[in-house]
Amino acid sequence: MKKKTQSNYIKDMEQIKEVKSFKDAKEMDDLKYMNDMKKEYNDIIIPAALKNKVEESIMKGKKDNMKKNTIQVMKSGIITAAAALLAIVILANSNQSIAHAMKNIPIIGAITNVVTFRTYKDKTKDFEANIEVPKIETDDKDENIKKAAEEVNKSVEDYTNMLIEQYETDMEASEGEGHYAVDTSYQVITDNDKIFTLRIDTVVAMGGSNSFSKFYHIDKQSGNIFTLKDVFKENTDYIKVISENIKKQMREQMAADESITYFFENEETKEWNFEEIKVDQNFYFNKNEELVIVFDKYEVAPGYMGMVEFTIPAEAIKDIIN
Amino acid sequence: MVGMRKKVEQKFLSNYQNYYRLAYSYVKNESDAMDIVQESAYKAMKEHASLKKEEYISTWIYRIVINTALDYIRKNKKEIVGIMGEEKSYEDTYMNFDMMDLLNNLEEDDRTIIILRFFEEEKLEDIARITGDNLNTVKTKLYRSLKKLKSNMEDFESSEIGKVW
Repeated sequence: MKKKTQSNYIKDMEQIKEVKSFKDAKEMDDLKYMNDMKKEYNDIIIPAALKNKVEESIMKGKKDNMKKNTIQVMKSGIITAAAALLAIVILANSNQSIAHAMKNIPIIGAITNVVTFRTYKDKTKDFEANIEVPKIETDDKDENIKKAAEEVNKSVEDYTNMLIEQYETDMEASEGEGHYAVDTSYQVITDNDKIFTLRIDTVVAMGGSNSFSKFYHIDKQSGNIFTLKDVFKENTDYIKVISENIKKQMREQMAADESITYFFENEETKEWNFEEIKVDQNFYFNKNEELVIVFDKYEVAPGYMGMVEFTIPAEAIKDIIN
Repeated sequence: MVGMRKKVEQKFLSNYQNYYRLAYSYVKNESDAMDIVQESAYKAMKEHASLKKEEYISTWIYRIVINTALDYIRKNKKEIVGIMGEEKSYEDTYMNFDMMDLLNNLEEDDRTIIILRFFEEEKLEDIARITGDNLNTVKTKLYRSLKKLKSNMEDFESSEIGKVW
């Protein structure tokens, strides 16, 4: 191992200048080792014979691609049969759910019921899934609310089908090997005379884990489905107002408690520090009718923080809320 | 269709060195890395029809390379030699093999993300497509790997060897 000589020191300085876009000496220091690693990585020697071998493989791939096209038709026949089989299994499942495992959640004073339409269950080697699919059943005389409920049900079905498809694709790709568990459940967060909110939570565990949720809202008075944008008056910059309030809370929480970390005002995560909420950020109204903004796991904080929520005080948004 | 095929071919021919380095970071020896690159070239050409969007050619190929490397390792279960410096001889570098050892200390998927981000300068969204993770998972892995690299680096610098160096 060589000691640093003067010429090496000069080389260091030249390399440091190479590093783009950082502002102070501390960053330079941190990124210097990255540059060193990059240099050594780029110094990996490319064997002279590789180019020809790559060209040969490309030729062979082209040839086999043309052969492959002729067996395409036969292949799609097989896929169709498998899909039909799967559909039958799901239907049988759903009849059973309705008859025996129906989860009826009557809410006092409310006129809607949310039931478990079906539960998709699977266990293949190390892969398992338990995906509950909720369905709103309303005998509300109000046609508007009925229509909104139907829309939400369709949306929910598309969403859970997407989760199921993702699970099946991943499961088939690895033939069930490697730990992977999907768990989807739902709750009715709010159901009063003003609004109805359904929350669907999914936890995917494979090695680490990921948690994310999706919310559906119905305005009972108008019978419309609404998103975060509709909560506020038109042409108001609700994104900025809410985001600034959240930043303030993040700052305060981190100052008060060392164990709390957000991707905000954080040098190490500066590339993805929280800037602002999404146009359709997840939200719900809590029991005090305050707005709560919900982030998925990893969205604005490291994994150990889990899913994080921020309650936006009424004061902050009273001028722009509908 | 012919257009896509030609574009995949061109992309591969102009970037095969990058794919080689990435494969090398997995198997740590020349002949295995060459096998992986050849096989990836073959697969990319054979399956080019499954690629619908031109802007994803690069990420798609990276994904093939990584999956091929992982398959290779799984099937052969070879003892992967840890130290990279064996095949090269530097007269004038002040660096030694410890730098790459830092990298090799990471888990495969973390290392791949570091390589793609800092050495190949891929965007985070593209890395997510390449690895099949969602964006938030990529960010977390990156954050965690940087922390680990930094702390290993600090350990090294404060050790006896590091002080001399």
